[in-house]
Amino acid sequence: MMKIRSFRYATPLLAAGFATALLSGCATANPAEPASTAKETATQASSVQVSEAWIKAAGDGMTGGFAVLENTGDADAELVKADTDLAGSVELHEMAGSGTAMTMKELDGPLNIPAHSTVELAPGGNHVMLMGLKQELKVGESPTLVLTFGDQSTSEVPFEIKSYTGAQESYDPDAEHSEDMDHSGHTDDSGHDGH
Amino acid sequence: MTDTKPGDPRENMHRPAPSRRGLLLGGAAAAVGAAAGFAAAGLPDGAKAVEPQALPNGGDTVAFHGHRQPGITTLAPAFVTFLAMDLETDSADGRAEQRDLLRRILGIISKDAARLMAGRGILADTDPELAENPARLTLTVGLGAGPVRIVNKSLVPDWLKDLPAFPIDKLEKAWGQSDLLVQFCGDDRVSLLHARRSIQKDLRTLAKTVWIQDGFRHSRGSMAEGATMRNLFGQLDGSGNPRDEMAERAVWGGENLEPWIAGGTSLVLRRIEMDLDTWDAVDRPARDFSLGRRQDTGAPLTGHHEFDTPDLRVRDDSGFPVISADSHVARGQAREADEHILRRGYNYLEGEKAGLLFASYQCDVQRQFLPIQKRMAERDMLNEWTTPVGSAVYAILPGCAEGSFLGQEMFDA
Repeated sequence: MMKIRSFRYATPLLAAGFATALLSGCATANPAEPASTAKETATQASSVQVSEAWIKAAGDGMTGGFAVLENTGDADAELVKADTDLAGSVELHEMAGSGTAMTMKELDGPLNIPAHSTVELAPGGNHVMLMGLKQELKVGESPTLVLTFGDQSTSEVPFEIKSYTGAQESYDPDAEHSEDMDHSGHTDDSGHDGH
Repeated sequence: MTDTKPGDPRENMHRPAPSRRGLLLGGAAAAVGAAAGFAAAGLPDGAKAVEPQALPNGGDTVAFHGHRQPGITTLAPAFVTFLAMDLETDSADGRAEQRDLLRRILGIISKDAARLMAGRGILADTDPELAENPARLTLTVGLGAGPVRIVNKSLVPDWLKDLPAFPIDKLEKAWGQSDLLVQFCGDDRVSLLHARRSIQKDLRTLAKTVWIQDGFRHSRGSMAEGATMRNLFGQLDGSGNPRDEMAERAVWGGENLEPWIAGGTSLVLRRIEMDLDTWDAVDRPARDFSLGRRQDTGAPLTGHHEFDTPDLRVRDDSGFPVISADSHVARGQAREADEHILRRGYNYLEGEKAGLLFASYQCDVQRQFLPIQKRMAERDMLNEWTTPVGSAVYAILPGCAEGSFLGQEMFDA
């Protein structure tokens, strides 16, 4: 279902409307422009402002990445994936459970960033999981991660590596396998997020 | 800010306009959000930044970026905390690793300082709410000889080393030299100490804390802005500080007085214990005679006002100098044109220990500070009640532009 939605955002009609809204007040905005051009002007990557991006320092193994994603556009956007050469694999994770007994699992589909809203990737919540680190992530360095959005547009974002003692969420790979069981609960959580 | 001139301590001060203040004070999410580029998402619809009662000082900020670091000629706020750290270097580390470590440390401090001084928490701050009242917060960074040498041996100034031993000293190692010094100043101890902890947290794997020294002056608003502070002996402390062009030259240098690096200066920080109990027993005439000034007005014994120049030639009816040659004022008076230092000290009172965090800024420790210090160590009547217990010397880095970091020019040189 998520995939279908992301596909829909990439259709010319919506992309054009998106561009118009984003650039309202700007002389170059022209809804009659060919869709491809409009799409270049207002991709999801250009609508989503990424700030406060950081990664918890780690020597090896896995660690978390965090950021604030602000969708300034009139259409919803989706974060599909994050990439970096520093890690063997990168996943988008969410936290499941409650209180101190929360574990994380891979997000069921992309991360939705509704129009004119801000989604936080934060310790204790959704985050980017870097697994199989290929080198030490040293405090004070700022490697670049490539974020890919629902329309396949990308943003290169420097993430500052921070010393941080929190963000010790335990990774529960089994949670992925029990996805179906958790699914209804997960849907409820998503509903809360929308408040 | 339009009525200030270069060198005016208020030149970098910013008092937010009411709307800005409203934003700053309108709650944690709004304040941090606005500054960090967060939208108000997550807030209930009605939770907009409200216009609060105007708070007098909490929102006042000092600019971090600039040619020179703030916190030196800036008017001294009520509180200081000096944080001394040593780099976590391994003897096995090569020079490249050590350089890289220092570069990362200075990068982190610079980013953190810009945010904290603007009233924002650091990136990944667990308690950004504590940063909300910067109250003229400044961070000022200095280095010991070790780190400067790591980057560029030729930049290490001659004076960047331990002061010579003085007979009056009873130095405790606990207050000694460190690789790195961060001076935090501000009028709100909550944001001040949050800033200090933020730096410690961010550097926890890169540098270890050696000592922390906290000090205080008069609360903001209890004295005229820029008025000379009183130390715990009751004396006006800093009356002889250079002003205007003389202060500019004393701290930043000029013709024939070169700073170690353009835009840089030096700090001598001495922890001077003051024996309040024995001082209690000293009568007012003896106090004034020892100081060479009146304790009440701060006026030199040869003058009427605090800023009158002490005249060591004036004699009383019996032919004795009115200001004794052994008084603090006489010993401290410049013998050479460039013997001027900018004192920016703070009192400390911890349990039964009391004293002065004597912080002296000058372009060149050797030429400006040491001659004065030597004279005072030889003879100064106040020495009877004071004991230096800590001493450290730092090369203060130039300021940095936005997008750069403190000390970058050292790495480029």
